[in-house]
Amino acid sequence: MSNNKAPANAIKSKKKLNLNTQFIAGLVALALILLFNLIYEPGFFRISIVEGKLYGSIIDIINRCVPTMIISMGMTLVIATGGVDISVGAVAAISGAMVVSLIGYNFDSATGVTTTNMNMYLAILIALIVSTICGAWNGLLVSRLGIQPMVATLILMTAGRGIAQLITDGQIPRVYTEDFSFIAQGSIFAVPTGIYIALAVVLIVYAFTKLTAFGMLCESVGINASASRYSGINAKNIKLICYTICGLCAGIAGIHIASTVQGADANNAGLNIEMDAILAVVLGGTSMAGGKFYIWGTAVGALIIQALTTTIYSLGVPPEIIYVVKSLVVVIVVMLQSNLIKNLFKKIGSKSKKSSAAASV
Amino acid sequence: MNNVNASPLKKKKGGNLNTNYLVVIIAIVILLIAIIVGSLVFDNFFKLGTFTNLLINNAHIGISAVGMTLVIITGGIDLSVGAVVAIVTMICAYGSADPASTFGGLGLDPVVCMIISLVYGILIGAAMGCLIQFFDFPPFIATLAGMFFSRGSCYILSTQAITVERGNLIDTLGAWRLKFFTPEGGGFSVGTGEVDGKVIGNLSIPVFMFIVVVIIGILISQYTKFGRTVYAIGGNEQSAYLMGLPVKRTKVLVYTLNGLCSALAGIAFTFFMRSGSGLLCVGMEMDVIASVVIGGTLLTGGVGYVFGTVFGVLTLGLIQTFVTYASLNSWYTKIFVGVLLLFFIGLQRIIVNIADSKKVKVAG
Repeated sequence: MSNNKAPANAIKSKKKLNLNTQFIAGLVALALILLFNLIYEPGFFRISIVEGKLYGSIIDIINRCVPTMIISMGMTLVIATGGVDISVGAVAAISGAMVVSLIGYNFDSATGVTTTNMNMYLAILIALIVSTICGAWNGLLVSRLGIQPMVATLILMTAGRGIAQLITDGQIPRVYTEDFSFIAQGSIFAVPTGIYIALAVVLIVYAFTKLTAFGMLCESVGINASASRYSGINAKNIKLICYTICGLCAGIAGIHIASTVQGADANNAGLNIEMDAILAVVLGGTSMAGGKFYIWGTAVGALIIQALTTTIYSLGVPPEIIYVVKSLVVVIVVMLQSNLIKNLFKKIGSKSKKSSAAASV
Repeated sequence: MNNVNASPLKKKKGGNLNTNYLVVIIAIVILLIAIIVGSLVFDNFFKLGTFTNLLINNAHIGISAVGMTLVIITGGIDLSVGAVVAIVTMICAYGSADPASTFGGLGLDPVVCMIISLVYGILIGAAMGCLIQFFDFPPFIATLAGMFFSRGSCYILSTQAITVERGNLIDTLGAWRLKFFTPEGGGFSVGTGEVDGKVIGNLSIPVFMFIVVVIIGILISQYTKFGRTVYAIGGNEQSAYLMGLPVKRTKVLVYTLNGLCSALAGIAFTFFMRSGSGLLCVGMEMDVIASVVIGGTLLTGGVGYVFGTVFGVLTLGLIQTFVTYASLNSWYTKIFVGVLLLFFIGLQRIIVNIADSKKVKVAG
């Protein structure tokens, strides 16, 4: 029994250190990027209102990172259970294709009349249900058949874009109705609607995990699935729910992307967004091995990625070079999380503690 | 007493080997069934040209899949292969292009470019291996960083798609074909260059590279200390370490080897395309991983054969051929590959479950 207690304590203290170093490291990284921008372009923080809508680089960064942030919320839960979902990009494409195809926008150039086949809200509801089913499918493969998460979601990642193309029949269908573009491009009280959606998703996920026991159950499954099962937690269902939520998040992001471009590009919608989402989660301090997770850390991670991208754009170098910068940032941040560096920090920490203790004596 | 102890061990080992082979055998059977179905459904399918084209179109995936098999056997994953292939095509095409041309290349000797490519592959592989081994990076993240780095570096060289000029060594080697043909009097003959007769099939240099890499891969994985260590790490890294096997060195080497394989695949792909671009091979890593899985390698590590991977690559290629023959839209390829993946992963799961229950019985 005493054996059990020691590692539990060790884990606790380790995780505590995680929160301090990682979350703060994330904030510092974000601050550094913004500071760099401020020096490079003094007008960076300027926010103006044009036609009743907020404009400015900061707003732009937040607005553009909405899909990544929404998806990374679901991804945080999945990674907390020790899994990973690489099919989110494909699910987002399916959801976008679904909603645009269902709305079925027609424009009669002779009469100038536009017609749609389906009510937009019904189409969105159906698309969200479909993406939730996609998530549940992943969850079933992982939790019930015991397939490795990466392989299980590889299936939908490969097939998903094919399915999305099947839905759009290989075309890029368009929807130009005002209601639909309002989802991503409109504004409420001068703030872009996308930001409300992202904030709502973050808050709901935060409330769901921190105000109920669900978050703790996720962590327990992520730290040790079989131990959780022995202590009476239905690990399988917890995993299933996490993947389902992840699918739903991907669906919401897919609709947002479709609304941004006013159409559904099955091939390119949400391309590589799974990588960005996983990066955001890791940058936020959640370990890929599962366990403790940080919703706000993930949100900061998503902002870091978008701030980096925007910075690269504003520097005027070929935008594709963002990949090189991203890779270096990932290496640095993850290296800070590695045991080698952590132990170094610990040593420094214990030394300073000792010296302070000595001083107080 | 000795006998009693020895027999379950032996049995267990025998059982494991059988189930391991079984997945490979099933992959072969599926390939054969696919070929038979194809021959029955499509006219003009069962001929030499179909199969040589299958090899030509998939040689680069095959070369990369050999390295990926070893990585997956250790329980890791490498997402960087597609990006490494892309940068190698850029190094070869941009490096050897004439500085005076519209692309403004570097004007290096093609051989030098290929050597630089191989060195790049080895270095990026070793770097990812070190991050994984010494800094506890999850393989997924380390190779993701490698992928971003390689993909971004392509655009540092040039954002354009670069065509290899005619007469360049790469162009010559890429155009080279070993031709199978029927001479005018009938019969069967093999030749290169201009042949007089009806060409019924041909092989390119990448195909021979593929064959050589597969043979070396089989030899390394089955008949060397390194290969056995790779399997041991996949089975249980802790035990391998406690047994005194060089775990650290082997893990770094596996990723280095895969980097080399990716660079070779890139050179093969340059021969195939005779052009270079940063946009090439986006998502190729998933094709490679899929073919390794279809070939019977478990993503949990410790189980799999380079030999099986060959059939995975061919099965995946055959699906593409089917979709072309049936003149279906290209997206059906993705859906079929997904369905096939599901089938194989489900099958492996069932086999592993049966093997596990057997083990329990033996132990009990």
